[in-house]
Amino acid sequence: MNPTNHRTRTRGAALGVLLLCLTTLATGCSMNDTGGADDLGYTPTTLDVEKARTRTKEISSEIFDMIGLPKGKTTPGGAGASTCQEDPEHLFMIRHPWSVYDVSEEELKQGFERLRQALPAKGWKVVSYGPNNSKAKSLELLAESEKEHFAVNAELWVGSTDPKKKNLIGVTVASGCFRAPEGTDLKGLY
Amino acid sequence: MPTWQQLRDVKLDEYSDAADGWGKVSSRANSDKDRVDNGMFAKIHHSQKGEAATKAGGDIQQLSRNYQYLHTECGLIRTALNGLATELAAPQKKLKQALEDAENLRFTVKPDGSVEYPTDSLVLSPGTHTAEHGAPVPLAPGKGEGVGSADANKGKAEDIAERIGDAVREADEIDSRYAAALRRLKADPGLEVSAEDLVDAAADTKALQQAAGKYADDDRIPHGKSATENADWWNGLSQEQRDEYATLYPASVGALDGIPSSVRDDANRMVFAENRAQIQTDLNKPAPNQYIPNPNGNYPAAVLSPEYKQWQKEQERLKEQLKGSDSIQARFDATGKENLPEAYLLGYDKEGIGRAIIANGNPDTADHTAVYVPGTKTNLNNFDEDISRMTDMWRETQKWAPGESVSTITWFGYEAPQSVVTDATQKDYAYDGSPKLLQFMDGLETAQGGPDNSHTTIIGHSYGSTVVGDASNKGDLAADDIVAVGSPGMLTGRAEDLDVGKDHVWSEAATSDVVPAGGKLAGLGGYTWGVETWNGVPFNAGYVQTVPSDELFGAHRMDVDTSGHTDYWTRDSESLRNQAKVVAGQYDKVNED
Repeated sequence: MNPTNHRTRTRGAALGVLLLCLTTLATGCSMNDTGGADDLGYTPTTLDVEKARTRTKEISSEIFDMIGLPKGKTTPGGAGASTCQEDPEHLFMIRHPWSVYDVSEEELKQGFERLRQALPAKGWKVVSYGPNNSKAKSLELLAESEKEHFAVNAELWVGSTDPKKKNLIGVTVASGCFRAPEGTDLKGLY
Repeated sequence: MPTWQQLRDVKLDEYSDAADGWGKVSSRANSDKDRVDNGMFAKIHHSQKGEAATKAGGDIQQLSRNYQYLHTECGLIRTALNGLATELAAPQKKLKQALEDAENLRFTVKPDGSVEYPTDSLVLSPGTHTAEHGAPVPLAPGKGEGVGSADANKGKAEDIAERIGDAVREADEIDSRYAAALRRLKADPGLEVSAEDLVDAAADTKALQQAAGKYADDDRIPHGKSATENADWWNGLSQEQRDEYATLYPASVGALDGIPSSVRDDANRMVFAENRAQIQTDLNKPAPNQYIPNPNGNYPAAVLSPEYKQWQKEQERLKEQLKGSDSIQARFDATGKENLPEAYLLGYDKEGIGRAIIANGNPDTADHTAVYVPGTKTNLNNFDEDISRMTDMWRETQKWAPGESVSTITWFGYEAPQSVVTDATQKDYAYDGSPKLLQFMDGLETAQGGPDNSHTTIIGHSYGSTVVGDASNKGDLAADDIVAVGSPGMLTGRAEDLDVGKDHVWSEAATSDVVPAGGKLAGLGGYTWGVETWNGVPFNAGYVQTVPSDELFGAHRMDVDTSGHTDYWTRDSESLRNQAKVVAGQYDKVNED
């Protein structure tokens, strides 16, 4: 693709969508942001917010068990709910970021490998695994549940000797978008 | 009207002692309110669900409101008593001096304030006379009516009577002022603080601001000064003085960059609560007569009255304002939910499109601080997402920084443009907003105790990044890292020209994002000499406009699309994760182009 053409094409097509895009609150919007829930690529299940939150935390627990480092410390942050951009009045998702730390580097490496190996048997498809695009080239994996609308992202951070920058396995369990039951007010969702 | 005897005898320290008592109650109510807001809500979320949680939440809100009311009203009583005692000191002193002079001259001060004096004259027959205040002005004590034949004492007595009268008059004025203010500060027995009560509290505050003008002046609060000057002023006050200013002028104190965040939070929450009560009270105003006979004929027979239409408009406006208030209240109520940290309201204004600055976790003691500057169309009436973006950031960041404390701040402290214009006026919003951002960042740094105490990242979204760019151009932005997301341009040609240094500038790699292109049309980029490349391939060279997502700009370009493909790990999740790594100072872990 000729970069110059791309630039001209972008600029030409941009003007029509420009005003629409620049006035949204999105982190950055692409020319694809014109649909709503249809854009999702799947039909959101209807589920109560707190039930979705509980399920997310259950999955986190399962992931923690797969890692198999029960003596490791975990960060305290909980599972947060937020509205989905595609339809913020009806759709929401849950995100639970946490990490395991204060165990040796060797244990972390083993834990990460255990996780990678345990996922398929538990109904997770490992979509990608390997060193990522960071300077540290950390091992990163991304897995998607075959049965439920959930994804797991995990990174292995080792090699730090700075006591303030801890070695850890960082996990985020993220749900897809759920539809809140009829009549749920999704304003002020946390 | 007080008598001179009362003025002489009044023990002013009884008033200031009483004031202390009220002050303690006020402070105690404030601490209790904090415990309710930050502790009790959390406990509900842990143990109650569904309707029980809603009911318990409602009770807790009532409790919080009760404490808010106590904090304000008792604080006002304290200030009124202190003001009274302080101001009365001067006339009391004048009176005592006059009485002492009378005693030394062997004059008798009568109960009504007139002064009895013996004649002191070579020509007049001896006797006693009375001088009253208000007598024809004595030209000079002792020199009243001619030399020689004058009664030397007459002038002196008149002078003393005058001074007594003045002192009493002065005391009377002070007394009336404070009595009026104090009379307002009475509560009904068995008070359950309603919205109307908080509205009253706001009015009581205003009334005391007027009455106590000489004692505690808004002018003494720094306005338009630097963060360091604000901090110096605050540090020079006694604790009681701080409490008084914070209670009497909460809006001014809440806006002071450089003073501790907990102080600003208390003051702004006071303004917020009173404001919220005002909106709720106004919304409850009954509608006026809805219909009047049609003045222009028979069809329709009746039309909406002008008063009703006015009321409708007002109701609409109030409902919009309530949305903004609801957003902020919802964040307060969510403290403790899933370990969400305390919220600090560092700024608040309901006027126009509104302003709000909300921190998650105390920035004064944070190891890592993030400040998010939102972009076009930011408005307090639609603010939920701007707050939750930073609560999400808090959760993601603390995962990458175990054992360290994190504070994330939504900074809506400038007049954000409400629409896109593609002419030069678009830049004005950045020009006007950037000094406020510079000041706020200075304030954070001061409250944190210096530039090295917290690793700070500014995240500019869309037009917010333009404000950040201008701030960096205008002054010395107190930040360690800058993240530009969906940036239309930062009015700067190269990353290395931003205050943080080239290695500390992060943007998102462009995909099919139209924002950067639009930004260049509006001239929001910066200019530099260089070669433009796309995926490393050069396509243009010269003096070109750049935006942060351009390779030529020279920022770290963070991945937004993942290497893998899944419906549930979205671009938003990836974007959040990378930004959080920057906030946590884990630079080598950021996935970049």
